[in-house]
Amino acid sequence: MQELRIDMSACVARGLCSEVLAPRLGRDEWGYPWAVDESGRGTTRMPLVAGEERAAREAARLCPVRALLLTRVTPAA
Amino acid sequence: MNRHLEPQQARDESPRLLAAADPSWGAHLAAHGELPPAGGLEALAAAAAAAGLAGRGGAGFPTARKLLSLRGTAPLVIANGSEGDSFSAKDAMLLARAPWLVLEGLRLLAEAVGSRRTVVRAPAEALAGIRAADPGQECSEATGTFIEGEASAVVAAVTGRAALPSFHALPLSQTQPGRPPALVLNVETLAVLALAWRTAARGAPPPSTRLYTVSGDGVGGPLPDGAWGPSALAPGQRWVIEADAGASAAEVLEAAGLDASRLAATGASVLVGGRHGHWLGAEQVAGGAMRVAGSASPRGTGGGMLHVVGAERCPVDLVAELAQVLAEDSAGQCGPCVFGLPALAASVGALARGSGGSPHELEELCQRVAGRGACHHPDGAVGFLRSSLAAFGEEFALHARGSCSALHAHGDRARRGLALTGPVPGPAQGGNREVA
Ligand code: SF4
Ligand code: SF4
Repeated sequence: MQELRIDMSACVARGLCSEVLAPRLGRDEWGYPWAVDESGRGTTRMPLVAGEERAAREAARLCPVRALLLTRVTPAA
Repeated sequence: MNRHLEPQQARDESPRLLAAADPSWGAHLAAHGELPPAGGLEALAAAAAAAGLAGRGGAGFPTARKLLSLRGTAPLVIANGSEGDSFSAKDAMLLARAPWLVLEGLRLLAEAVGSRRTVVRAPAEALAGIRAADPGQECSEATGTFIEGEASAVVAAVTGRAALPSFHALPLSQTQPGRPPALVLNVETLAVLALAWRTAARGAPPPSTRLYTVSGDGVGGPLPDGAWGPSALAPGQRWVIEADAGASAAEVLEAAGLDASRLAATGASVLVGGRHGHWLGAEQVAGGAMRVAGSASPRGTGGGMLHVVGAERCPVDLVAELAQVLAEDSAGQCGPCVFGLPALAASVGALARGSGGSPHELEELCQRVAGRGACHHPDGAVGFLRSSLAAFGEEFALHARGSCSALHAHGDRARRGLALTGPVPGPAQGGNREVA
C-alpha cells in the first residue's frame, strides 16, 4: 500500500497540499496539514486509496519545501 | 527493609551492573571476570533475548529484534548516554561507575555487526569515566537538552549535523540519502549486553536487574509523626538504585529506603518515566503496580525514572510547570509541536490557576497535537498530560474553582520543585544506594 507522509519538521504551512488533496487532507488551526483517520485523529500519514495517487504525486511536486513523501508502508523503526 | 531482592540471591544468581567497587579495570575484572570473545550477531541477539533485554533509554524496544534488523548493514554504532530528562541520573552514574561494561557492550556489538566506528555520546561530565578507561574511544559531548537524546538527533549530532530529531521514513538502521545506517543503544542496554554475553557463555542465569532513578518532591521534610522521609528525596536530589528489572514501583521505593506503604497512606503519587511519563496514584503504588493497568503506553518503566510527589506538593502545580518545560523542550521544527505544546501548557496553566479552560478543551488540543511531530516528543507530552488529567481530575476541578487541597494558601507558598531544566548532576550529588 502507498501512503503520503508529511515531514512536519520541513513543512512551512503554505497549504498547497491540502488544496490539492482536500478534503482528505485538512489543515489545523495553525495552518499545518493533517490527514484525518477513522477515529477523527489528525496524523502525518495518509494511506492512499484507489485513484488518489495522482493527486498525491501532484501535491508532493507542488510542495515548495519537499515535505511530502510517497512511500510504501514500512514497519516503524 | 527489602523483601524482594535478597542481597545474596541477587549476588549469587545474576550479575549486577554496579557490582564493581570502583571504575578501575581491576575492580571490573574482579566483579565480572573476562569477557568471552565476541561472536556473531545471532548469538549476541540470543543472549539479549535470554535476558529479556529491552532498550533502557525509555522506549523499551526489544534489543534482540533491533540487533537482528541490522543484518548485513555494518552501521555506525552509538552508545547513548545523553540522558536529557532531569528526572534521570542513572546513565551518568553507570558511565562513572561501570565504564568498562559500556565499552565492552559497544565492542561486542561493533564486532558482531562488522562496524568500524563506535561513538559514546553523553554530557561532558558523564564522559570522564569512559575517557579515563579508554582514551582511544571516540566520544561526542551532549549538552544535556531533553530532545537531543532522541535517536535521530543523536545520529545527527555524531554525523556532524545539528543535534535535532529528523523525519525519517525508514528506520535509522537503513541507509537513507545523506545518512549512514546507524544503531543507537542506551548505555545501560550495552552494559547489560556485556553481562548477558558472559552469562550466556557460562550457562549462568542472565542479568535480571536494571537501574532506576528515584527522586521526590514534598516527601523530604520531617513529618509531624517523625522524620521518616529521608532527606534523600529532598528536591533536586536523585538516587540511583539497582533493583530487579521487573520490580513494582513500591519495591523500587523500598530498595531506595523509603517506606512505600506509608508513602501511599499519606496520598503520595509517583510519576513513572519522567517528562514523558505517567502517574501512579497512591493506591496503585500500594497495589504493586509499575505501570498503569490497561494503559496503552508502550513505555512501561520509561527509563526507570520514579519521581515521588508527596501530598504537600500540589500535583496540579507540578503538572503545569512540567507542561511549560515540555513546551520549551520542543526542538522548534514541527508546527504542531512548536504551536501545540505552548497551547497545551497555556491550557493546563489556566486550569491550574483557575483562570479558564476545561479538561474537555485540553483533550481536544491533545488530539490535534498527538502523533504529528517528526519525533515522539508531542506524543510523550500528550501522554503525560492525559495521565495527569486521569490521575488528578478532582484536583484539577478544585483548581478550576480557585482552590487546592495540597495547601490552602495557594499562591504564596515557596516553590520547591526539582530544577527541571538544569543539567544532570554528577554522581556525587546523587549517590548510589545499592540493595546489597
Ligand atoms: S505543501 Fe508542503 S509546506 Fe505546504 S502545507 Fe503542504 S507539506 Fe507543508
Ligand atoms: S516534534 Fe517537536 S521536538 Fe520533535 S522534531 Fe518536531 S519540533 Fe522537534
